[in-house]
Amino acid sequence: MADFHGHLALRAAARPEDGVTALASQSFRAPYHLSKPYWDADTRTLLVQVVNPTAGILSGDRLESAVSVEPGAAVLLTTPSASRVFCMRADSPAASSLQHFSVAPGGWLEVLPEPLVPHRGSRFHQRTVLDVAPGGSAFYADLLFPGRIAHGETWAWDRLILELEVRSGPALLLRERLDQSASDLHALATLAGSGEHASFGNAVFLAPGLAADPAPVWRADLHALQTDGICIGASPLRTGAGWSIKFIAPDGIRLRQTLGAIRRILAPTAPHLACDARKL
Amino acid sequence: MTSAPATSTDAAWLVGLLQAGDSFYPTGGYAHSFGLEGLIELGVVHDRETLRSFFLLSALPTLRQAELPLAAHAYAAFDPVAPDWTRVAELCVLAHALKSPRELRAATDNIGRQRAELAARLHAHPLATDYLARAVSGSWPFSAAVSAALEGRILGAPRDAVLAGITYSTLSATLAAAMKLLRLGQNAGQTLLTEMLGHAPEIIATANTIPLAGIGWFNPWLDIASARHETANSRMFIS
Repeated sequence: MADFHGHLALRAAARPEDGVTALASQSFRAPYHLSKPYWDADTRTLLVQVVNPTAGILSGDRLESAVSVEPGAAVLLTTPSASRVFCMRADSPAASSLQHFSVAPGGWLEVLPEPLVPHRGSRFHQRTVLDVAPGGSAFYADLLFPGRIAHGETWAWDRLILELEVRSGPALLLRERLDQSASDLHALATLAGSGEHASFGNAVFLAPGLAADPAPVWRADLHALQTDGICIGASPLRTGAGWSIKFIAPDGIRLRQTLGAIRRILAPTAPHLACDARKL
Repeated sequence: MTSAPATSTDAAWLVGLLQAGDSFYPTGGYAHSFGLEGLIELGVVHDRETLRSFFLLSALPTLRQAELPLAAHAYAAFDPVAPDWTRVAELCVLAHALKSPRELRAATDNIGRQRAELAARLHAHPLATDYLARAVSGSWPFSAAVSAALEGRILGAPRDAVLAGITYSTLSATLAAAMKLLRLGQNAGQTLLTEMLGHAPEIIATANTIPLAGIGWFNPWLDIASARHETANSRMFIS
């Protein structure tokens, strides 16, 4: 089976004549493919859908993506379906993904991929760097399912590393590394009473002016989402330029609903969050 | 990374580490539960068995994958002959960037600052005074792990002894908080502490193998509990 060395590079810029965001440059190679972008005039956001036309992520796949948003541009980057990481033979190479997102002052980027679904015996390392210049704004959300829930196959991956690094200009705000075995994360979910289908959301939110308000009203609204098995907590990152929002739900449906609620709560602060990711 | 030999007699650095690990040592650690109070509030930890699971599934991995590797790298950077101040600054920032909840950063900042200032006051060592001056001028955040490595270097303690000291003080401080929050007696507490300390050789050995780029670990429930603890109506501990 051939390994994929997927590559995606996008640069979004605001057109000088009307401020509408367009892809100023793009290049991609399988397994990446782009749907035709959609300009959402209501929220003035360019909706870009990245499609993986193959079944999913396979042994040896090396995916690299770089997305940059220039001043005045606004992009919602999403995927149409879950990213499945398939079973790998013990002697075959793992799969990896390196994602780099950068936002210039006055730019907006929302990254809203569908959930990651690691199958039995899979090995996957994802490293994400979110680089937001002071004056830029971003919302990034990663969703993780414990496996193929509908098939009764959960907590069965071999190795899963999810790294997230967030920078505001030269300042390192966050460097997280989720590197638990399936059994250890399952044991934590059991300890917390989150159930066999516990699903995870990890979001960060950066916008100008956040540092000036260490106790925004929306935090109480986010924390009020903690009902009926949902766990959620929001806390300012170092320097206060951004926030970490973590949430756990007893199943995938509730996880998506919670993410939707989070976006609605934050939308008055960041109006581009009102853009509907499913318009395409 | 290799452990430097002791530069003073074993008894000298040993008593120094014992002093630094004692609850009598005024680093302010007694005021923190390091997220445990929040987890108890969430109902995740509620008795001896769930506390034991918390130690095994969360406290020990955090030490193994984050705090001890940080201290090991800081120990190397605090080479008394040629300190690598650029690396020290990087580790101070990293120590904070690894913690998404504000209270956990405040805890390591407060304890790290106290410990570094105490080391400078008690030992009048140029490494400590130089570190404090650079930390202030460079606005470096403080870290309990980095300050423990600094103190270990000042005492002339070998690296693994420093990591053992951090392991003991972290586990005992968390357990002391647990005993105020849960129905847990002295004997049960010491039994649990003994069991967890039994993992020290294994987690220290692993921590020493972790490269800078591989440092980091988090428990999503602990981070959520700590974030919510910031706005709790009532609480006993700062973190």
